Amino acid sequence: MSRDSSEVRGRAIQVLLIAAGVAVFVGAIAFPVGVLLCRVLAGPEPSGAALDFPLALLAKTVALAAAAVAVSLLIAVPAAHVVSRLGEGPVDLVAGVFLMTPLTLPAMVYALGWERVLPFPDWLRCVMVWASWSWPVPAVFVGRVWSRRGRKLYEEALLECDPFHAVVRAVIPVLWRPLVACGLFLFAFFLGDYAVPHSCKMVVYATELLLRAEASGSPADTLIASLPVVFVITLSLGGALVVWRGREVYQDAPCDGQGCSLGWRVVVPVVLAGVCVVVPLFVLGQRVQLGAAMEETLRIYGGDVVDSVWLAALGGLTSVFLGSCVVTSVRMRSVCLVCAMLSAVVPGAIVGGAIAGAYLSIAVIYDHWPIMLLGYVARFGWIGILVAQLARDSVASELMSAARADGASELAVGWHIGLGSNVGLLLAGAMVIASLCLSEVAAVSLLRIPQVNPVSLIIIEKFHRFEDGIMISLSLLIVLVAIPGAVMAGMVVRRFR
Amino acid sequence: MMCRIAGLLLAVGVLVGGSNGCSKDESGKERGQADAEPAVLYTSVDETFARQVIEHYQRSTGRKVTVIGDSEAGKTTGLVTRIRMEKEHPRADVFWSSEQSQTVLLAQEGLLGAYRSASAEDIPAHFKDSQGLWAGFAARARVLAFVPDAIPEEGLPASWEELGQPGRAKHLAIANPLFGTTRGHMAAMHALWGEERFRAFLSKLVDGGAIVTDGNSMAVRELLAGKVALACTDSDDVITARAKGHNVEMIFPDMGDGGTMLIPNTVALVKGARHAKDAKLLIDFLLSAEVEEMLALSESGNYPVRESLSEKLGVVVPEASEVSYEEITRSMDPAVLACREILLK
Repeated sequence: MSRDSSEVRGRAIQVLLIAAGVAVFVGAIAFPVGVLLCRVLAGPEPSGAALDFPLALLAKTVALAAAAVAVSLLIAVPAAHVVSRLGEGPVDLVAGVFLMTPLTLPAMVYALGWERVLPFPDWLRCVMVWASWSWPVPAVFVGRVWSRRGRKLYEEALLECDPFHAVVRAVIPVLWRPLVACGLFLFAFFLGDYAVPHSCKMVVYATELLLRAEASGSPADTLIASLPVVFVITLSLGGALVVWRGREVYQDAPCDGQGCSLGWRVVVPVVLAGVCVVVPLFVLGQRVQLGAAMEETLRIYGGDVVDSVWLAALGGLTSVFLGSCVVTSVRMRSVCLVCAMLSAVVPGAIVGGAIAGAYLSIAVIYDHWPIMLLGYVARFGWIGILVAQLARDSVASELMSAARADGASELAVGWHIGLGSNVGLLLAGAMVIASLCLSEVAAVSLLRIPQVNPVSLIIIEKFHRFEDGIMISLSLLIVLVAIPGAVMAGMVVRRFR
Repeated sequence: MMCRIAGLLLAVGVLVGGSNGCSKDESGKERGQADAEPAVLYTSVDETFARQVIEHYQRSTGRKVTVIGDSEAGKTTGLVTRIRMEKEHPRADVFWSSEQSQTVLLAQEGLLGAYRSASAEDIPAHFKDSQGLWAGFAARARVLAFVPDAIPEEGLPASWEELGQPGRAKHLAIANPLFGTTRGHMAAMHALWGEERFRAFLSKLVDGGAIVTDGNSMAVRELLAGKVALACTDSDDVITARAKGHNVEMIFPDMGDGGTMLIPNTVALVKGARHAKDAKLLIDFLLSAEVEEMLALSESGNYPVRESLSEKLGVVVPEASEVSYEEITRSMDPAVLACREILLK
């Protein structure tokens, strides 16, 4: 085969893949949003109750999310130090896996475990669960900046002043952007989360919206009721985007593993993962006779676990696939990014309602698993886009320029170099999204199908019915299936730093 | 590499689609043929009990049933909203609700079809729609749960209204009154007491410091955690918690007319049901004394509405309020409005 025909074929495949990405984008985001708007405009007038915004509940939710962000950033500091020093050895791999494990497991499980350990008020447990799940996000980004620039600046500053002033003069100006951007991103995510507060017995704004979405026949009611929280989430994500875009792009190579002793590289990840993951899981496992409970769970719900896992995995892969297609297409990128971010600000209950309304008359989707897959992509596709953009940004610009100079098209540069060299990161992102899909409640509550009983909903039902054996067995099962994701993420974080 | 991943993704989709989307039922019939499909049941009954009942039906009749359940958060209201949304393209054939108020609403909105099941003949008229649009059985009761060690029984209120007395409300947990059975309970109070008295009661709860939880079982969890001394809930939540070894008891406070509110399961045929023949057979089964007995003997401990069955099982059914379910449904909107304006402010 000649080189020309090979190029044509390659280009055709790329175009087809982009078309598939566009189809996913339209199917999961653009079409449901359009139908939702039409239903709102054509539907009955919103009731007076829709304008009765529960602002006290919003204030409570904002306070909870802000506290969780603060704790998360605090925990992330020592972890970031270790992330910045990870090398290529086996100890570093294990440290990376330990550091990424909390993020790859469903946070709802921690909540159920901590309930039995911490005699804390519910709100404090909710804050701790959010924080103990999310800290790897700021740890990775802060660690990356520290590794590539911060430490060098700090050491240079130390030649002229004491450590405190070195931190103020050199470290803070470099690290504040990733810290603030990650904080705002997590803040926005927590505001829309239903599963963790519910598992901690907390009523938050997302709880109210799900109840309203389930109880109201008018989509306008729920949409209007969501406006205050949508406004706050939009501000947060917009702020995160502005702060992130203003950062300097450091092309420095990451520093090697020096400066962080082997002991620290072992102790910090083990302590953090131990406290955040092992303790709640151990406590869960201690509560029941696990063997018998697991046997009963697998007998009754084995099929539901398998179905939930493959659907969540497909949700993760499809979200990242969508992101990959979006960021490699210059024309699509801005429009899709804006639309996906808009879907990010919309709470899960509205996403679920929009998808259900859009596909009501298409039985092949509405009555089967694609409706849930579309729900997952609509809910978490924006994270897929962020992961793909991150992968693309992590490639040195010189490499991309060289490829362009060699005659590669923009599409080929983005696809082969920007994403092709970061498959690990993309897969790790897919697995984190799959974990989110596994514990998603608000959207899938409105997208029930007979073939799949989502494991997240079963866990919540068992929680309510005091059936601890099955609830704990299901929780541990979804932790087991998430472990490969933790290993993958641990491997990736060493390269990404 | 990216192409390979995309290929893998598509392959997974095709495989999964092949195994699920185009699946056959166990009798080997292709889906897509309406008359060959099983009846579709929407149920808000707890999955554990619904599964047992449906498995029994499938075993004894050889007929399949497609079941879609509700989420715990918005019990019943989620499925009702779905039935409303689907009215042009009905998916459900039978609606089996764990309570009555939403079923009555669906009947009033013209979304249910009439069917007088022979199985329901021995069910008292109070638990049936006069037009044959729904029938009730296997009731739960609205109860006040308490931990015996934490509060002496003589310190408990004899009526629901006494919860508003000074010092009582601050020890009380109540589920969000906009949803689920608490919504129906509030509407029943409104129907019996009238607007002014009901609003005064809510104000006393608020002033007294009652806490609102996300669902009945959450109220019971607050009770078991020692955060409150009393929880308004349904009898099955208490019976389930007791079965799991928790030290919790319940009383049946008076609504003001001699009894507490009974919440029957309700079964109805959805208007425009695509599998009407199978749906009617399923309704006959669900309304049978056999199923009512199953639910009475289950961990849910439902109270039979058939007197003969309660005598047979030796179950003491609590005194029931006589307010009609239609009156309760009529009071739903003003009660919800009052709850929004007072209790949830």
